[in-house]
Amino acid sequence: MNALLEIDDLHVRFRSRAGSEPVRAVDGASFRIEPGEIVGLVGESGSGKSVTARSIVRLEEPGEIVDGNIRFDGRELTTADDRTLRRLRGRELATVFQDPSTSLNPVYTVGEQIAEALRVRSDPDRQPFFRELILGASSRLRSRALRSDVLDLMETVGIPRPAERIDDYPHQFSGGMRQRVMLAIALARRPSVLIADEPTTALDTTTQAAILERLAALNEEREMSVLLISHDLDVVAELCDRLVVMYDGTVVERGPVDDLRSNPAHPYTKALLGCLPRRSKPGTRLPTIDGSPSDGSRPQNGCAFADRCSFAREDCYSTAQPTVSVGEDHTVACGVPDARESTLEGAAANPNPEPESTSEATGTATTADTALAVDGGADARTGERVRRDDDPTAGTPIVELEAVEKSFRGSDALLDRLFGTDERVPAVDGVSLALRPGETVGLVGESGCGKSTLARLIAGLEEPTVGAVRLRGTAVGGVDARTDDQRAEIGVVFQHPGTSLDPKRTVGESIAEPLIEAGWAATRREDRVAELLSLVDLPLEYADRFPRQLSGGQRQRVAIARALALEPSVLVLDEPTAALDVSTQATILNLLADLRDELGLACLFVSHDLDVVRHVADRVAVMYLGRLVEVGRTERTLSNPTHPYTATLLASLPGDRDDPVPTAVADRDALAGDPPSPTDPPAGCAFHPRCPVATEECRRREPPLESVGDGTLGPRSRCLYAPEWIEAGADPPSDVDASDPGPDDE
Amino acid sequence: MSDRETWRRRPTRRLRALLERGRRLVRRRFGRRYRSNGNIRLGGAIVCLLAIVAVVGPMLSPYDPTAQALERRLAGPSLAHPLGTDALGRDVATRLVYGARISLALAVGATLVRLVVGTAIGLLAATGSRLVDAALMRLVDVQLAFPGLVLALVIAGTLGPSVRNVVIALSAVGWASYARVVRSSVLAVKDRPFVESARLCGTPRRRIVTRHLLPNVASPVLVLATLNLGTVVLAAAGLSFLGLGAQPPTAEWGTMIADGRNYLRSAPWLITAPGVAIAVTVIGFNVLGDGLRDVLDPDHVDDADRRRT
Amino acid sequence: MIRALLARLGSLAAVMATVSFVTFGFVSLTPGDPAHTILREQRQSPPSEREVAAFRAEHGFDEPFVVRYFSWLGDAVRGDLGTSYYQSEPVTSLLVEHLPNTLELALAATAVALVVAVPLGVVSAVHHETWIDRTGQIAALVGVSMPNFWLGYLLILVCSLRLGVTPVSGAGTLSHLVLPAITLGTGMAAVITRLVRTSMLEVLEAEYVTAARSKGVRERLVVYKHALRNALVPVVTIVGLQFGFVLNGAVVVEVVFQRPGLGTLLVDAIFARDYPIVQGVVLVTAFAFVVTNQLVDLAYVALDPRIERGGGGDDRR
Repeated sequence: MNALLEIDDLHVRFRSRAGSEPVRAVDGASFRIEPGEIVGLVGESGSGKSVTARSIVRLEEPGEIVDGNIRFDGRELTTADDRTLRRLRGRELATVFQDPSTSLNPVYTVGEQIAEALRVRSDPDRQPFFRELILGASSRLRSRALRSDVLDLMETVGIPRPAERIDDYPHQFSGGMRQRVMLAIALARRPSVLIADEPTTALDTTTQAAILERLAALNEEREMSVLLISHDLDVVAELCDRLVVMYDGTVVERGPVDDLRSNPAHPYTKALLGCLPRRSKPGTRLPTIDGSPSDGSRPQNGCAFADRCSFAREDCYSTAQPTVSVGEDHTVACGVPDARESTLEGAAANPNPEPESTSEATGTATTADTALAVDGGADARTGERVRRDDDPTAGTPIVELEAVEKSFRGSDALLDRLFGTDERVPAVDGVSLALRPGETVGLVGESGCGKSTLARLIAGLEEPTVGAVRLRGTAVGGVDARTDDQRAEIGVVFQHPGTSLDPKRTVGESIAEPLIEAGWAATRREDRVAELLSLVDLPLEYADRFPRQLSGGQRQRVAIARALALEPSVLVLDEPTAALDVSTQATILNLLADLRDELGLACLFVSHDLDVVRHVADRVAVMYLGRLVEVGRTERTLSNPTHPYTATLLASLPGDRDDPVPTAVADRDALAGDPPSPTDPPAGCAFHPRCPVATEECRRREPPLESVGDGTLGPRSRCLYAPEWIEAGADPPSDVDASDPGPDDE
Repeated sequence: MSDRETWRRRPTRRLRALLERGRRLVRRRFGRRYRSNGNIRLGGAIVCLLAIVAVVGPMLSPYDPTAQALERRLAGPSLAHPLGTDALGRDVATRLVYGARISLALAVGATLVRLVVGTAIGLLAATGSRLVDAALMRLVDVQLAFPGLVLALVIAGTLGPSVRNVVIALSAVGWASYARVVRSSVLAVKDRPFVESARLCGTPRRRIVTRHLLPNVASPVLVLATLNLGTVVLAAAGLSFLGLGAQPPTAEWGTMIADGRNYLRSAPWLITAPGVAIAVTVIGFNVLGDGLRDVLDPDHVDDADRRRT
Repeated sequence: MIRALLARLGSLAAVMATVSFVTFGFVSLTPGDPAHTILREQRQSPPSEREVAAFRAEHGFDEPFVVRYFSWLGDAVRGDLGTSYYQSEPVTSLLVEHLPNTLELALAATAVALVVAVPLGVVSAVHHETWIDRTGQIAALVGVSMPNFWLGYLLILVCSLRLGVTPVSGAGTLSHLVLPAITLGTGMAAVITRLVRTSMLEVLEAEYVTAARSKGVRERLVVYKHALRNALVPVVTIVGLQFGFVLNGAVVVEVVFQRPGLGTLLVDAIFARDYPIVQGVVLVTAFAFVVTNQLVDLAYVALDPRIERGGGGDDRR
């Protein structure tokens, strides 16, 4: 059969600064797409997957195709002229980019942008210059025929009330809706191939699920092929027929999705699958990949993955790997039989992983034992962690939130302040929560739900408008009002490793800052910095480096070292792995778990990723619109949720799993609707507009956060029908509930 | 206490370590990136050359910049007078060299005052209370409401024409842009996690300013100041040209053009030479500023290499 | 919206009030007794006590500063900016007489600058790092670095004295306007070229430009429809600020070409210590500048739909 789109031995280079070697972004990628098929292209950042996708539509600039072929429907694209390319882009090959906040032109209405695609499609060669300029200048789409076509498209991609929104500008849409607009622009061309480059990475999981479902439906209806690019294997797996895995510019494995997922053959594929938190038992160590992520500057020949592969042989470094067939239509670029046949666990790194740093790391990370004197009470390096929830000694909370409220000013205008007309926007609304020694509480919710604000309240970076934050029983104010001892109790790690370190100061200076403020002498400080660096598995030389010389994962290690400088008893982690690749995420999660156990830390782990929280947390608290809607032990809550919102979040997780939602939560579009504005929360239960099982009662009455099930000892939920959820779920083990320390959270 | 003891015990070792560390820091921060930037090299060369001319030039010239010698007035370029003589018989080249002194000194002086005042106000606005911020920014608005040269003209005019008053006038009008740049850069980094981390370990506000905020706003301020040196040279020349700056017989480039304009047809070199001198000086500062901007702009540091994906 | 407008007008009024105070203060607080200085300069000999007293009384110098300021401000609001010391003509009518020439020059220079700068900036950005770009860059660099009065004389030298195609000085006809407009427009064009280029380079890297290309849109439309409009947003602010630059430059250029205008009026008044005129000119230019910048902010809203609210700069949280 003739493939619709065929990429053959594609090489793309980027010229870097004068003098240095060009970066080989894509280095011999080959795969094909059949008509009507969905192909997933998977790899971590730097794997060259996006460059490959862009090369297909010849938008590889500033890269340069130096070798290989791209054939669409028999036509060669690498040598095609501009006119041919315009026709193909306008009618056959449509693209959706990753970040919908930057891929729509901010100065034109969405209607105009969709209509433009329709006009280009109808005649790609004739695009009258001045007509286009004038049409762009109008703030309303005038042509009636086009208007109805645009409305149809908006309807197709699931934008509610399209007639009201057609003349709106991109900034008036939420991220999910913007991505739907991008999809409408793509569909306007009635393409035969849709190339979607990480279309859901910038979105919440509920929105992601809805968009992916929409893609699948469109593929079915229109017999449109889809190339779906993602860093997350599980996200694409649900939809795809076949998968292509890229590493450092080369395709390491490709095959039918089920075969590839059940029998991955390349060590990298295995490692990639293995290091996903959702694939490991909660609390266990995640398998990791040795060595540092690729940077495109490896030697000419040999396997790109060799220096991180535990099966690498001598010739892996020097000769190109053969492409071996390991199943029907399933090939792998690995010539080592042991590696191909190993198990998932076997392919991952040894249980005592080295840092994801360069080889110089190995020699120096030996001064570790000095700081690890604290009794962790758990077998740190191997095996399953002792879950804290049934530890009877863990009685008095270290941190307590008492009915905390925090609101921000809605407007900054002087007049508003003078007239008192400024609205307060509530970010956190009446939250009570306790954190006990050694316990990890996961705080989850969609973006904008107030979870980060809650973390900042505990850290003291915000002060509550109402209510109190207690530290070991004492009410504490903002960070400036706390004593040195109180400040030393809490360490904080922020989300973006890029901004959490001062770019003008060395790693050592950054880590030493808390010590300086605590009045440590210079020599003692130096020793402690060395100690901390080894604690986070970084070599001592890194003390003199600047943050820009470090990878994301290394920066996050430095941020953790700094947070631990004064031996805190609480660690507040605000999405510590959200900006990292999955393999780096795995190493950081392992590190955090080790440190927590070795140092007996209590952690508040804020995350949007339920799988990560399931992996690390003892208890989980679910937040919606500034309020806790459900609190309970992790396994229990994430297998038998007692609030429809939790169920919704679980249902939108990617990957094959038993749907934990007992009722039909079918209409994902409704769930993916935007959360209501915090300035104007809906009456009754705040979730009811998106709730699949809402009743009249829900619209009227706002339920409190109450214990459900076994009297006062069960999980707590803010749903009127929580008891029914409990019954619907699988048998709740009541004996375990008895030790749940829930009540004193109130 | 123990700090001092260690110092006494192992002075050489610590000193050597400190020096080594300093050297490494300098090399890392001001390394190849600076030297390999063509703009920095060209602009730096022009500025250095001008500085040398301004310092050494007057010692080498055989002529007095102000003494009249009417017998050789309006002589064209010759070996004795490479750039000719003016209406009073003074050597144009000599006057140009003396003029470089005034121009450079004036530019550096006014720019320094602008920089210090503007940075202080910008910092105060960004870190102070909302009220302080609002008040200071109003002040900035007022300064920016005046077209700079018009206000400088009035100030220099009312204070009386002199080089010192030109510095005062040009200092009074240019600081607002520094205040705005500093304020917005500080606001941009103020809520970054690394500053919050510093707050979390109890670093006092003043130390946060000196340790984290100032170093991070230094780059834009430095770039602005370099570009500003050129602007000040132009403005000062303009004031002198109008008769509100350096007074005759002082050799100053703007004044020289004002003097030469009456001999436009007969002695065009009289305005050409100082005009070129001004233009080259300003080009030097502009090119250097562009180069510094290329190198210091943090967005451009790693980007080119990390474009992929 | 209305509230935003009110807030804006409020801050505008506050700025203008302070501006007027500064204007008046500068001139009134000059060292020495102005009456004495003015009279001496007027008649080239020390004036008698009686003459000084008479002058002071006539121009209200005997009142305390604050009283004088408020009476001046009160008059100014009603359009009366006092009387010139020398020409005994109302300042307002002098301003009305000179303003059109300066306005004409400013507009002509802005037009010259925009016509040259925007296409040059776009072309430089599109042909980034080619000889076109480099030539444009060098031209722009020379343009910002040349003193405009010098450029004026060079133009006079070439066009008027050598070629004889334009008049040397004066105002009134279009040919009188050509050289001053070029002189004044060059610096502005250079600044705008550089800005358009940088802004375009940035925008051309934006994802939505790539997205437009991926739609199959023609390259020319990608540049002029999708990129340029976004790139112009920051340019508009600078053009507003450049209007101040034009007013600055107008002073010098008017002197060079001996055009009667606000600039020549101001310079003459400064030398003559004719303070009512100085105050009047400064107040009018500052007012024009402030109003232009408000207009620019309105243009901003038209160009960039993201900016809807008027005043409150939300950059501070």
